[in-house]
Amino acid sequence: MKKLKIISVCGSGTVTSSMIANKVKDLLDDNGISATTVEVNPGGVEQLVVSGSYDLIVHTSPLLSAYNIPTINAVGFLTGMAEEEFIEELLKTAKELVK
Amino acid sequence: MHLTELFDENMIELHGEFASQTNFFKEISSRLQDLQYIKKEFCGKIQEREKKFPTGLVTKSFDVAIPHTDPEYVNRSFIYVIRLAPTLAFCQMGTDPMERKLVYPKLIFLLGVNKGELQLTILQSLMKLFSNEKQMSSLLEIKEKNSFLQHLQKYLSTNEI
Repeated sequence: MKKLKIISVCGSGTVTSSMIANKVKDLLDDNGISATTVEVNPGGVEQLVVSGSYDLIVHTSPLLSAYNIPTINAVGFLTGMAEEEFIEELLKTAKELVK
Repeated sequence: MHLTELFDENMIELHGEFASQTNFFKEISSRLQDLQYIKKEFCGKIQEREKKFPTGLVTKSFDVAIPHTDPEYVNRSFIYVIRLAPTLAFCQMGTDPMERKLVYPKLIFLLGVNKGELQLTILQSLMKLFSNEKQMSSLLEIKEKNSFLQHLQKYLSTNEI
């Protein structure tokens, strides 16, 4: 199965994005999907997307523009407020991507 | 450094009243500067960041906000807690401020962290606190600064990440 490459984005490119990246990797792993992540700030997204090797963006800060890969807002996953909605969307998107 | 050491009775405000968000940041920054926790650029930088990367959060209990900025403007790490009537608008984290998705926090945790790794621990602990409805409602009810501080410290030390 294809290994997913995920861009995790937050304002600093280190803190919240790492929290989300770890939670996302664990969640996907539990569902039989393996993934690698890279953490960046919004300014770092463009060049990663342009490289063409990333599949998905999860973010807790606003993104600078629209990209041609799926993006999911992860703030609800961070606070636990909209955790189920996030998980549902993530798994649905990830399963499509590894098909 | 343990999380509970980041709080101080001088940095707890249980009846915050501010005319605007700018006014809020100016007032708290000026107190923090008197206490020598921050560099003078802090006030401008934290507002700049909040405009680009807003920090308002909706929780199961009530709205909160966790404004912060880069470590270089902080002398000594701290968490300043402000309780207030929900009158001050913050944009919701993860949204573009142009969308005007607003929240009205009843608690603001203003974070000053001079080491990145510590910030991760702080955020994880705070997220855990925010999802605990019982703890959150106590934080709204407690009347004395001293017991507020003790309550928060007790929760954070028994729920270490």
